[in-house]
Amino acid sequence: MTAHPVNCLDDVVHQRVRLGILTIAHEARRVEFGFLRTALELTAGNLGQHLSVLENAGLVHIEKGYEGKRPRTWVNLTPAGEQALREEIAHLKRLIQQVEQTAP
Amino acid sequence: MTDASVPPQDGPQELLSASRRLTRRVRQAQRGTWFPLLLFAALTLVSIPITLNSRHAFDCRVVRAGRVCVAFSPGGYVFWPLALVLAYAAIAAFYVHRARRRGVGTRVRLYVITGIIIAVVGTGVSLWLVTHPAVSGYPGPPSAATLFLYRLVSPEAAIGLALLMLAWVERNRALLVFGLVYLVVVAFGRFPPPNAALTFLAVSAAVLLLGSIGFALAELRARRTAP
Repeated sequence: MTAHPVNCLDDVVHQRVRLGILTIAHEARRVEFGFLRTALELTAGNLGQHLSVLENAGLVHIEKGYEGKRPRTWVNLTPAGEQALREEIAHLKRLIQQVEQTAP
Repeated sequence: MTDASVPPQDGPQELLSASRRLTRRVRQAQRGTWFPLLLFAALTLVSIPITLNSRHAFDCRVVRAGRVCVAFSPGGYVFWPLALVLAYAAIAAFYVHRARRRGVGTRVRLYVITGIIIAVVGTGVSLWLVTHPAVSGYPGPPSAATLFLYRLVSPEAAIGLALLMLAWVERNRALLVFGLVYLVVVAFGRFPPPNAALTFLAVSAAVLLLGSIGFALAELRARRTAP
C-alpha cells in the first residue's frame, strides 16, 4: 500500500516561500538575493530566514561576493535541493489527483 | 471581525500555480531573443555585397543547352564562418551580462556551442559539395533534393537550426514557431532568377529583422505587465 501523498510532504519544502525559492533557483540555475526578494515580495530579513532554513537542510548553497563594488549574494540549488523540489512537485500533483478522484 | 474563509496560500493547487508563475517570471528575465535575431539580420545584410561581388565560376563545361559552370562565392566562405563565430561570442556576452544585471543565471552556453558546431559543419559540407560537383549530378541540372541540401548547409539554415536550440534553451514556444517558419523560408523558398541570390538573402534578413522587432516588443510588453 502506498503512503498518502500528504504524509510524503517535506515540511522544509512544503511552504509557499521556500518552494518559490527552490523553483526560482532551479529555473534560473543561479539567482541573486535581490531577484528573489522582488519576485517573492519579501523583506530582506524574511527572505534571509527562509534561505537559512533551506541552507541548513542542505537544499541550497549560498555564495557571497562582489560584482564591481556592489556586494552580491547568489543562491544555487544543491543536488539534494533539485531532488526535494522534484519530489515536492510530484507529491503536490498526486495530492491534487487524489482530491479530484475522491471529489463527489 | 469575520469568520469568512480565507483562500489557503499553501494548498497544493495554489502552490503549483505559484510555482508555474515564478517559472514564467524567471524565463522572461532570462530571455533576450531580439538580440541574436537582430545580429543575424545585420550579418545577412552585410553578406549581400560580399556574396554578390565575390562570385567565382570554375569547371565550366559545354553541354547541349550551352555552357555550364560551378559557381560559388569565396568571400562568403571566409565571411560567414568568422562572422558566425564572432556573433555567437557576442550573443554569449550579451546573455551573460544581461542575466547578471537581472540577477539570474543563463543557459545560453548550449545554444552558443550548438550554433558554432552547426556553422562549422555546414561550412565544411558546403565546401565539400562545391569542390565535388559530380555528387550532385553536375554537369546535369541539380535535382530538387540537391537544391534542398545546398540550402540546408547554407549559413542562413545554420542560423535557423541553432534558433531551434535557443527556443529549447529559453523554453520559448513563440521562438520555436518562428525558427520553423524561418527554416521553411530559407530551405524551401523559391526565388526567381536573375536576382535569386539577392532576393534570398534580402528575404532572410527581412524575416530575421521582423522577428527581432516582434520579440523586442513582446519582451517590452511582458516587462511592463510584470507584477
